[in-house]
Amino acid sequence: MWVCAVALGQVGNEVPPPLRPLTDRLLAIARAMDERALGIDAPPFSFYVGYNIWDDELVNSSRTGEDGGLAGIEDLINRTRPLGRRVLWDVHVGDKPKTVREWSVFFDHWRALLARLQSQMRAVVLEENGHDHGMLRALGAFSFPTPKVFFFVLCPLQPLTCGPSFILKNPESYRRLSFLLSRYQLIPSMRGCEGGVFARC
Amino acid sequence: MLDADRLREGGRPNPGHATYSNMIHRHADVVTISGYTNALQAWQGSNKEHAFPQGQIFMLPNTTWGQPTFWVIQMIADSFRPRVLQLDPDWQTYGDGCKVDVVAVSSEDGASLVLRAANWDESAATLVRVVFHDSLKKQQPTAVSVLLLQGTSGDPLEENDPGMPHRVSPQNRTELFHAASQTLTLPALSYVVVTFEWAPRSEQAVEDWKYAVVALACVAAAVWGTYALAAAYTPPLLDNHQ
Repeated sequence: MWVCAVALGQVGNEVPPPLRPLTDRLLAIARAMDERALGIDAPPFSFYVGYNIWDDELVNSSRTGEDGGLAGIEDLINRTRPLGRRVLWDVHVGDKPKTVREWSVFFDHWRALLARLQSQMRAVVLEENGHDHGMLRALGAFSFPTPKVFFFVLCPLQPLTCGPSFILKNPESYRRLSFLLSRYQLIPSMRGCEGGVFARC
Repeated sequence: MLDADRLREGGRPNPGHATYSNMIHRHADVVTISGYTNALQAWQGSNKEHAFPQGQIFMLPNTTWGQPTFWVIQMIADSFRPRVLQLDPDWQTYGDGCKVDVVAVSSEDGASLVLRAANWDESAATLVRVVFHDSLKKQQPTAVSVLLLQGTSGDPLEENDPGMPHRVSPQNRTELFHAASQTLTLPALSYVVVTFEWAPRSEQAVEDWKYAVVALACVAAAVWGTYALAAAYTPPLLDNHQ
């Protein structure tokens, strides 16, 4: 006979500050789940909580208010300390900071914070975002920019379509075009090209 | 050829999975789970998905196939080892001109060691010299296997499409590790997983292994730069079982 048991639950996804209501809800859920687990002789439940902390919040809190920023994070960690390792902060990677090195620094700061507060809480990354799926995303570098404006391509060989012949709203097409243009030296540099690409095909 | 440094300035930088995974391994004491997003994505399904095209497995009504990120995930999963070995000095490639990141993991008894290396340099291969700890030198590996993931065109954006779903997929390339010189070649834009196996060890040897560490030094970051993997007596960094 197969017995399946769910032992992890998420209390909100990317729930922003203030954190005090989230902490209250987490503690109430944990209390109820523990009572239920005892009743059916099941292992205790673990919980994912939290929002996307930016590194500057761990070092020099950029948020203000009684429940925001480092103070709010510390409050949640302190109040959930009795749950030990059963509380896991869900950090979503990819948007800010940007690079692997910056994320490494972030987790160094996270480790230091937990040590300072003598907490057994750990982190999980339930979203490792990268905005791409090709070789660079696979290996470790950088993704292309998502175009913020329209990109115009002139095609003098096609008189009927001379002028802004088509508009690339599609990032996939834009990335393909960018690669081709830069490969064939049609654009000397792609640096700072988020403002637009003006080229001849 | 595009250069990642130009993208760094003009583009939107994002973590690449192989290097990110290496970093997370080095933080396994405080990060217990890390999940790539997203798992599935329809091929050219909608504009919304195009704006966020980060799926690892793409699908059409009649087929599914893995993207390069999918294969990296598979190579990591297939080479799982519970111990993460400490790097000394701490491996910081970014900003130093290095475009290689390596993590070393081992079995509990040290009879199996895996190196996972990402080289995201778009034009230059890199040589890595592997220097085993003294206790390992006494006994040559009984088996070495090398799995390579590399694009076919040099396009840093290369992907797999329905017409060629296995264009970018792992290949056995044992010749990339040259046993006589103990050097490993990391081709441009590649991910390499090397597995070294030793014969089963005595209890004393296992105890010795617990104090072995793989140290990595970036000797030179130029084209065909050489990296050395050395070893010293230092406690292992992390237990991946946490």
